[in-house]
Amino acid sequence: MSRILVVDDDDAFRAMLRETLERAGHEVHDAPNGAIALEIDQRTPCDVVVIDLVMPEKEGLETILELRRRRSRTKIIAMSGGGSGNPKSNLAIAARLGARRTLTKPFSRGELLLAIDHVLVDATS
Amino acid sequence: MPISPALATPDFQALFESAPGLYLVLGPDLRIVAVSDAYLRATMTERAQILGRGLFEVFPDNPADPIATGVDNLRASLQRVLHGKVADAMAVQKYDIQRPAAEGGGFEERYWSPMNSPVLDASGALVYIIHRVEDVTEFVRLKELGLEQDKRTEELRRRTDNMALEVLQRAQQIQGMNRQLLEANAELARKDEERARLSEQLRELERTRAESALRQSEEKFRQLADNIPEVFWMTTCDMSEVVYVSPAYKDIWGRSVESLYAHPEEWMDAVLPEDRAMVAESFAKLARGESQVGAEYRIRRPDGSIRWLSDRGFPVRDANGKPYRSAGIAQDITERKRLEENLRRSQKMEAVGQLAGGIAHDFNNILGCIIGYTELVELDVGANESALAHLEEVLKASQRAKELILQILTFSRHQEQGRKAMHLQSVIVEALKLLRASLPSTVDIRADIAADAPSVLANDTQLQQVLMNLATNAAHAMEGRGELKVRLTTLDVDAEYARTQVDLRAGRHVVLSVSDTGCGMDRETQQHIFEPFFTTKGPGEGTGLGLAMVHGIVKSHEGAISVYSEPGQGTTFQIYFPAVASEKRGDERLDDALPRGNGERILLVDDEPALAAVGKLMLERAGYQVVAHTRSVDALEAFRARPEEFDLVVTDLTMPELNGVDLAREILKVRASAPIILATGFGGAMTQAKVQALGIRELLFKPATARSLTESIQRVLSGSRVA
Repeated sequence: MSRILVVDDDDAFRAMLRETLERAGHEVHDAPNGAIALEIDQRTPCDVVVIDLVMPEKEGLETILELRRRRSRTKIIAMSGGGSGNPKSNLAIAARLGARRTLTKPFSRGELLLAIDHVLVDATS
Repeated sequence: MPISPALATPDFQALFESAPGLYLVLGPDLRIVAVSDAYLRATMTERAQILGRGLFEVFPDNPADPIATGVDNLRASLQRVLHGKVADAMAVQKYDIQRPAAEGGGFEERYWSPMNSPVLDASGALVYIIHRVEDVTEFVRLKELGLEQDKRTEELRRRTDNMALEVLQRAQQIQGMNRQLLEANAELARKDEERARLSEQLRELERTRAESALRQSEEKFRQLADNIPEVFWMTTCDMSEVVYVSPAYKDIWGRSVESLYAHPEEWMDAVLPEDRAMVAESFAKLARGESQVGAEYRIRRPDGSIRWLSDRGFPVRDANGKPYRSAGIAQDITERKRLEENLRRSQKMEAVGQLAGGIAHDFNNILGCIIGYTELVELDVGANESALAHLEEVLKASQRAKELILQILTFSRHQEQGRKAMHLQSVIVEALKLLRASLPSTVDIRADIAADAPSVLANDTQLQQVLMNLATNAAHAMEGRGELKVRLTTLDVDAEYARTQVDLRAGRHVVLSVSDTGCGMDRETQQHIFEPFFTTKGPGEGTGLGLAMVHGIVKSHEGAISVYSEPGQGTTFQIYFPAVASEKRGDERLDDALPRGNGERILLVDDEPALAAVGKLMLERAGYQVVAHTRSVDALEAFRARPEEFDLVVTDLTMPELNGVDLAREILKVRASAPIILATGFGGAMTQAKVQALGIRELLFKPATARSLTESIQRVLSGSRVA
């Protein structure tokens, strides 16, 4: 069981991720924006943060940058479903900023779990 | 008288001068060297006056005697002496002697008989001429007197004869003079006539000068009107008669100027029926006295093509200000309209693109929820087959929605794809193979591929999408029966031609054309086909994004697309791709031999038996050992049985029971380092980054060519991951 933080401003999507990951046996925390996510991670560091890139309050790339500045050991999985600019290029930037895996929305349960497995395997290796 | 020798040498000069004869001595230059006293007396001159002077200067002809020939005769005689050096006797000459002014001046009539003799020196050269003159005046007079008596009768008769002769001569002279006079008068009359005519011409010229200026300006106008690309026209006020139309009419209307003169109604007949009322109303205003009217309307040319015109009319007024003609200028604005239309279309697409980009995020979240919760429900319902089948439909629909979003992002170019120099020939051939498999056999596919067409900078997946889209539309238009023709040619586009196509630039292009023998399209439809969500298909048959996507892809390739179609006459799409100036990169790719394997063991999974068989054959030829499976669960079983026996797994994505991604997950669970290549068709949502997130080494786009497959295998086996 791992401690996973889900960050997405879309409540329904966040809830869906939460349930999917809980059913897969993980301890899941969630945040509707980057600022709250950073608070949670600071209080109790998570193993993995699954974070959307396009959010109103504190957006994903900024949050990833902040996690990096704090030398957080949390593994990052970035998600994007498009929006302003090129979703692929946003994900590419996230990858350069330290996201271990990227997911293009919408993705299947299988893809999500595989990504989680991967970053956790990387983390233990 | 004896002459005493004691006497000295005689004074020859004194002797000469006192000699009774009339002597002059002349030098060769005819200057007077010496003169006798007698000569001086006879000529009433002084020695000092004449010595050293020219003979003719001293003794000129009597200027009062117009027929005096003395000087001429003497000059001729002296010349003969000078040249012939022999004496020359002259006939009796009438010399008029100039009287000294003291004696009253004037001339005195004399008759002389001159003789000129040369004086030669020892060498025979002429040194002097002796001019001796006998004054025969008295003799002549005496002779005349003597003869007078003897010849009085004779003289009288002769005189009578002479007089008669003279009278006759005079009469003749008078006649001649009369004739001359008459001729002169006639000449004068002719001159008068000529003058009158000239002055008449002059007046005519003056009179027509103003007209001529008018004509010149008319001529200038005509030259202008004949050469401008716009149509200048002039009609009677009621427009029932065409007074003038410039030759551009023929170019724009496609009909002869003569036919318009003969049939003025031709003008309105050419106007599209839907525009006629508007045009008629606009130009009726002209007859009602409006000073300027204008209309933009469309005409149909005899060849069926449509032209847009901007026509401005104005009244031509007479001196009283009353309109007596209508005139105007019609301009072909088809090009402008087309550009406006294209601009409007591209703005529309841009807007839809922005909208799509804007909603894509939310939409993908929504889809993500649907997919995610559906999958959770699948876990919940367990073995309820019916529920699972329904949930599978939800997932399929979600997948379609996801592809739709991807398509929108493609045509709005939010989805950039890498491009590289490549030859389209191989891409087309591969796509045609796939098309042959997917289109009904009643569609006849003809390919005409120029082997020497240069390479272009392209994304092969997107090009396959383009071709598949066009071909699918073609098959739809032919209702599954007809001929689909795919051509690839090279075209050097010049600046002139480039202007005829939007987005087309001058230069060498590779042209891909796709023609069908289907139902064709009317112009209205053609104007909208590239717009997103425009479709002629029924609900559920098409999204209206196919051609919008094709358009977006062509634009991202810096190419141009055009369509030619007529209802019932089929449709041809032409896509222009700029040729790559340097062929180097493309050729390297083509000329390289296919990468070869070295007996590596490959697990090949594809639910399509034909593709599995072809892939197996292809890879075995390339030097690999291949185990092929058409059921993914069988493939997984084979891998689980001997995980270390496979060096590589190549799996299709879309498969029943266990899809490619799930198969990959399962395989990676067995052996985390297993190299996997995932093959996916066009239009899918898979990206290189996405599959790598799943632990899959590479994403291979189908239809895979032998080259793309073997190159991918080589990269993966050599451990070089694609970033």
